Amino acid sequence: MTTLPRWAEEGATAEELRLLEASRRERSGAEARLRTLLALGLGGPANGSPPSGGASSAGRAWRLGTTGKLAMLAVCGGAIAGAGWFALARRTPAAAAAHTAAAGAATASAPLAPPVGAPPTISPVVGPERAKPELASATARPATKRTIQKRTFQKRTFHRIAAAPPALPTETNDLAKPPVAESTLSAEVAALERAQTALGAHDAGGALRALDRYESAFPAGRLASEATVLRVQALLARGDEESAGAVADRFFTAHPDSSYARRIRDLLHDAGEQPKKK
Amino acid sequence: MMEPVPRPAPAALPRQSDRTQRDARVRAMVESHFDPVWRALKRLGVPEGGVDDAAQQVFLIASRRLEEIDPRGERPYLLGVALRVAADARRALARRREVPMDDVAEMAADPGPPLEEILDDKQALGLLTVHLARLPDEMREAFVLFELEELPAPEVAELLGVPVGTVASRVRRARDSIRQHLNRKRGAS
Repeated sequence: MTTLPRWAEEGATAEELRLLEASRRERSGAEARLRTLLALGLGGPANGSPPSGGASSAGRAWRLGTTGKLAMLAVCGGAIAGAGWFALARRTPAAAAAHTAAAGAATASAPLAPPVGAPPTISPVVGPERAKPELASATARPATKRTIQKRTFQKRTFHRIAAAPPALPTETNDLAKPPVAESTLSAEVAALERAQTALGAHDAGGALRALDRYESAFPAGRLASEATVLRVQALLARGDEESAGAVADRFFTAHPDSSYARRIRDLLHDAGEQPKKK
Repeated sequence: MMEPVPRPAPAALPRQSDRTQRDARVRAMVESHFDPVWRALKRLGVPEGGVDDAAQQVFLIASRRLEEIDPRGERPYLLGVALRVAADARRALARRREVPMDDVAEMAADPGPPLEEILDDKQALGLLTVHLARLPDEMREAFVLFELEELPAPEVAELLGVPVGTVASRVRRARDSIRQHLNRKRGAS
């Protein structure tokens, strides 16, 4: 059988080893991990006791075409060395509310800076996209399962034939963005947790109000894409497929290649397959 | 003010204990393996601005298939998904003729500091990115999984669908190629 020693055991030079070691030491930014947990519906507190409303219904909301659920149980503490946001994720909703009220001053103890070696860039899926509250509540024409499916199909077709998709963010663009204060990102997370919790309590109206507050407080929020996904979920949960579709269309136009766009398409698609709520 | 949406019938939902267990496992998986996945995606050629998104995609895919994943084999499974996601990203990039190859060319054209003066990780990672970008995909994948993420050769072979001997050959050729580039750089500086 062929055996293959590692390069370090087979004559790698100091320079070569330096490259390997630098690679192994590199860590992602805390924000990237946070986004992933949010996308999986695991952005809520992991403190072992679900907030009112419970995890089950939130999970149901996230499961509309995604795999996410709102986790509310004790798990795996402290695995993220130096990532203060994780401490934030353990806060209770009440603490989150208090935290947000004091945002800007009270969260200095939650370091959010990525570890040394993490890249300075930010995920391209987060852009200045904004789901306006007035748009979200628009009811221009009655939605039907057919219109939702048709829209989804049209968007998929659009992605295939798009001749000039938006350019990927460049390093220059990313570096041009002002750095985000730790407290701001923490407050954004707290605001979205409230929307998730409301969804979990089957309170779509409450979730939409929480999202309205989020968008008012953070007009250029770093988690705007996550907020849009939640808004689409909330609108669908309320049975307002037309508004959900309008929000989705705006997002598709602004971010056709985003993984969030795929998730929103899944949501719309699944909603089209769900029996209509009476 | 809207009325709360009626709660779905309990029978339509998985049991709470199943959900919480599943959520716990997914969270633990992200916390344990996010960095290796994120790093591998970068080394496999996902453009800098798309790595976070790609990592998220890997975990979304894995969470959909959680029941298929052996708890003892989560890391190789996730790296296998990362291989496919990275390949898709490279193909999309090629179709769009986007900038990262220009970035690489620019980095390669820039002699940078002499090798002896490469002191920090950022410079070393820049150099590694240039070298990896020059490797054919199959050599790059074998090198990243075996040398950088330190998977055992048989696991790399399984992920790539090739014999272990082929993995060894690809890794050794990748090493030679990187060494040649380093030597050229040394000669140029």
